[in-house]
Amino acid sequence: MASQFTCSVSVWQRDAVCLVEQILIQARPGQVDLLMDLRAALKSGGDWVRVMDLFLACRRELEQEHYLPFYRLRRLLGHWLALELRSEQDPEVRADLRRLLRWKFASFAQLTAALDRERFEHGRDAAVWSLVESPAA
Amino acid sequence: MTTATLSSSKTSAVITGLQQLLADSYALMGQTHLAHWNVEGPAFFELHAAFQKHYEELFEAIDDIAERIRALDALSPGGLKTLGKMSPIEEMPAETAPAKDFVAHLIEGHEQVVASATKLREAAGAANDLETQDLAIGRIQVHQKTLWMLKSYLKNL
Repeated sequence: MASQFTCSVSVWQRDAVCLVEQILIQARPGQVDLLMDLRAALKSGGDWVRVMDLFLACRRELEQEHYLPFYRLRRLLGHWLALELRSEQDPEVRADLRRLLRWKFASFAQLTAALDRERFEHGRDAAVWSLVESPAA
Repeated sequence: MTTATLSSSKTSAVITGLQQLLADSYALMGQTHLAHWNVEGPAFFELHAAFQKHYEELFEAIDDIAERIRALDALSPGGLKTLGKMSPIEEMPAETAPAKDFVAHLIEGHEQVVASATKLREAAGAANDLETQDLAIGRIQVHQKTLWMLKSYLKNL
């Protein structure tokens, strides 16, 4: 059988896709589209903000029914993606994505808005946030 | 019936398997104890009590595993640092977390122990070491039962 993955897909992406497929098997019709979008985004990779947005949306809808696979997805994303910021005061800093994913943000924008508020409270300047693929130490 | 004389390489695989099972069980015991202390929420009392039963069972089992290593005339590894380095079971940070996160974390720990016990069962079978195989099978049964209970807790019915 031909592989459903291209050679450029990393092992963690395949593991994440398998987890989404486990949820898909049990999903109700109205939940399938969002999961399929997440699956496609994980398979193609690269646009990690889109992956995060889809993950957070699926999580909001489905986590209570599928806690364990979402916990495993959260751990994979927290381990393999890094949240980087760049600002005039902080040229290169990373935020702890694993800790942040404990909280139920609705989107990547909401997650970074919370971090910006925290920076503002500590007198730091506005930052540009990005998600990159990079395993945690 | 006696266990046949074991070849040294096959015995070595059994001892390595026992050492891995020991390390994973020890790491899981530590994480279960942490969950026992730090879990919060409406299910606190039942989870706090359940986790205590689990780590007490693991404490006894760890001793049996280490003494099996000694019975095979090898020395047992020990100590937090040494056993911690040997096990892939990660540590949960000492932070507030949903009770379900503690349960999910321990599920992953029990799965790791089942995996190492399964490898040990196979190595012991290949070495015709029925006694170690029996120990491994016993551990698999205990952890599979715990997994059923923990996964049942996570279901949202």
